[in-house]
Amino acid sequence: MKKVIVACGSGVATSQTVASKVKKLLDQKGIQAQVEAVDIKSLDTFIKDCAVYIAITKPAKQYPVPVCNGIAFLTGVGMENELQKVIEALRS
Amino acid sequence: MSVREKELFPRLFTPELTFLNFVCKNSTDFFEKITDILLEKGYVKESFRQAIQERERCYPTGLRTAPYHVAIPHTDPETIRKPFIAVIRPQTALQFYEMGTNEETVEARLLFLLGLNRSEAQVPLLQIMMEMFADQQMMERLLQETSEQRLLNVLHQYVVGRSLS
Repeated sequence: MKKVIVACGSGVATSQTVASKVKKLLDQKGIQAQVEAVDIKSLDTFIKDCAVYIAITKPAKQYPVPVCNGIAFLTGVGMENELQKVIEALRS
Repeated sequence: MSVREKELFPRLFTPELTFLNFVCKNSTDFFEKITDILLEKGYVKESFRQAIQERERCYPTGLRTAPYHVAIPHTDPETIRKPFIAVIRPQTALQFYEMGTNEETVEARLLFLLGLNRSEAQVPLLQIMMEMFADQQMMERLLQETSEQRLLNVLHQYVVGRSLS
């Protein structure tokens, strides 16, 4: 199954909340994916085998996978747009 | 919401960590003052003082929710003794950097300081809170309530109502 990772500074609270929201939204659309919240410090390890990275902190560098804006899933502002990006990344 | 999650609310929120008209000059002053209170009441370790400010500098937590901005400061679970969510309404809006940026600031009218451990049980609660930040009517009630207990009652009602729907 394709993997989505969500990273925030501590791996608690925000990343967990965004991960569970994204999982719920994908489930509603019938899209299967594994969504995991990780600590930003372990990002480099996890990014290797994921299809898309949802960032809650400002991306520090270029990544080999598509990067989405996780804050949209917290505030609801621009959420549909970001969700579409996640879905496209999972399909490709 | 399961029974376990319902029990979470009274365990995390408490009148002793709910503050209306909290007086502080800026976010640094806020962190210093709230850490004093949290230490005195036994919720955090001394390491919290530096950790929360450091984390806020590196990964800011201001949210540009409409129409009222909020901030949700939090840090490493290792600095927490007893999990809590402190609700703080500063006397004047406090400037916080916006999450995901290091340039933009928001004017936070309400602060939810999350002193959480690594448990997954809090996620539904946090999700309801995020939805609440976008609910103008609810935010206005939170900004207007005149007692700590009433503010918590309003919050509790919202959380329970949402979890049933």
